[in-house]
Amino acid sequence: MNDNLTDPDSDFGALNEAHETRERFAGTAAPARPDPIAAPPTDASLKEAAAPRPPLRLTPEQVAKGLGWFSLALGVVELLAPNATRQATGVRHGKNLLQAYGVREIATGIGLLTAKDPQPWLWARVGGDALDLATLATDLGSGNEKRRSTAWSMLAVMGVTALDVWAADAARRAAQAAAQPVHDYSDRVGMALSPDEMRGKAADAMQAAPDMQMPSALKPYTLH
Amino acid sequence: MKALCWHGKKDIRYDTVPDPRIEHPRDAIIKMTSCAICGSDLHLFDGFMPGMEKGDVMGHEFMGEVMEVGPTNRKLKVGDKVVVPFTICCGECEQCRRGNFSVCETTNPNKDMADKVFGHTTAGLFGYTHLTGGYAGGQAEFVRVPFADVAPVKIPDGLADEQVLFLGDIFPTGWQAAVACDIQPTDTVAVWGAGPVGQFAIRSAVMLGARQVVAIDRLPERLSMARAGGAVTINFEDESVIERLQQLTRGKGPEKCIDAVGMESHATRAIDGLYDRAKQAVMLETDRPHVLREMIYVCRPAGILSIPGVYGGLVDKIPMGALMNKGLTVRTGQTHVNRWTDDLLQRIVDGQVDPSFVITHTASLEQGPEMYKTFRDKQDGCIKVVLKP
Repeated sequence: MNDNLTDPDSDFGALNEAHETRERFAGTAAPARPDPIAAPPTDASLKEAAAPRPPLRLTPEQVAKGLGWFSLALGVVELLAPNATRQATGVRHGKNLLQAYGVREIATGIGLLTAKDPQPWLWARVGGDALDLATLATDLGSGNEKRRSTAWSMLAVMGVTALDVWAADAARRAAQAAAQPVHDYSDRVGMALSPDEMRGKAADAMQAAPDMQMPSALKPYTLH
Repeated sequence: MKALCWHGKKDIRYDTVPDPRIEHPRDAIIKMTSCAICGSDLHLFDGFMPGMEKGDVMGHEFMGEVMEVGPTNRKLKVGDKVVVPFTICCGECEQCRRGNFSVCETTNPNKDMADKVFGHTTAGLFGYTHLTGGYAGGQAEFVRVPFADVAPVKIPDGLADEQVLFLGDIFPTGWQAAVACDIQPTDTVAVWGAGPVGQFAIRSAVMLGARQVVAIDRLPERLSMARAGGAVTINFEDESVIERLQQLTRGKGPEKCIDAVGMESHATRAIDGLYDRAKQAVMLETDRPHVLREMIYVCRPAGILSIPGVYGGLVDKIPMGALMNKGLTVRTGQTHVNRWTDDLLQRIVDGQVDPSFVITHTASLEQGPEMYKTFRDKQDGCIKVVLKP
């Protein structure tokens, strides 16, 4: 272990000073600003940063609801405007089939928006996606002038399928987690004293593994 | 005797198999008193590792009492209590003499196969595919230990099995992962995976002097144990790992990153997770390297990536540009167990560490097949299973 590192402020301060000197001579010194290297984070700031933060992203429930609205909207379009849908997707099947698919989408949409457990409805969507892909695949032949549109539609359905599968799996895991009591192992320190008291107690052990230390020639010069 | 045998994907059985016998003068036969299910056993259970055959005896974390020794074995005697490291080493080849026991050049009888797959052979391992020797494992009433005059660690009286069992694998593995990080007192060490190896890596990093240790997982019970060991925790199902790590390091990224997950990483809400699963399903990729990608991306330039997590074959979309341009150092490998066991045993004897903290389930060997499922599915707060004959 490098003794110089036991006082990071002084070492990093020296490194910072060297940088500032170089910048002054080069005439490019930036306006004074706090240098994070010169002042490593304090324990208080680390603790503050360590405080739990609220979730940053959509929850599985929110995604399921979003898919429900998407299903509903798509179903309405398919039911009320089957010819426009055929035109846009390059599907050559009859409008009755598209309207039937529209009814299916509306049913799953309502299911997703109203059910307490979205899992069966999400898997129903996955099944519906498979049906859509199979239908589109039959229209990929060379006889279809709009097969490019069909191919793009298939790609879009594949993307939505991936989202459906993820949402269904996330809902399953959430249900599993909710069904299980959470075990609390916060008393299992595994060390003689608290982590703060044990910090660095085995630092000398690094000496036993010189091949796992950074070669001195590669270390920043202030750490030699 | 009775043993837990592999019969295919998700099919472990409590079978009757022939008793082991001395096959070489350096061998010993051990009567198993405690063994454990390791996270890497799950890679076999899930069918991700090639080279398993029906009837193979599982297990590489075990200890017991010496029942019989070969005529030239001067190290052990009948009645000794020993922990057996999972890596089998000869103690004589060039790699062993350098302390690189996990890449011993002698102990893999299927060297030709390993040479073809890996370029060069690595050490023989207990209960871990024919690629690494096809040795019968330790989840059995009796075990044949080859080269038993080298690796087995004699345990002094007065220590319970639960305190020392993990000297054979997960404690040295977590320790080596932290040592490989060349930890400095100013370092933040991020540990992906708060399973058993991750738990030991967290405590090792703390004891080696890391200023801050961050644990990343999604299971509340594992995160609670990680916090007990001194880690700040990130639940990747609730928040962005990258954003939180940046926040904890004031935008600099952790200096040292440990992958204690390996080939079966879960990637909630990450598009590369879906990509890996799709490629894996059609056999275009063997491992899911989400953690590797995330580590490379978030690690501070000039930092170190330490990878104790097991990978078996081929991975895809590794951001080599970031790895190279950031000047990251990668250290990995199976654990050179015997490099660390003397030191770690002494720390246990001194009371500095008590590895039994990680045990959440104890069951009989007969219940092994069921416990594989419990561990695999993380049911009932399961983190570490110990089995008794």
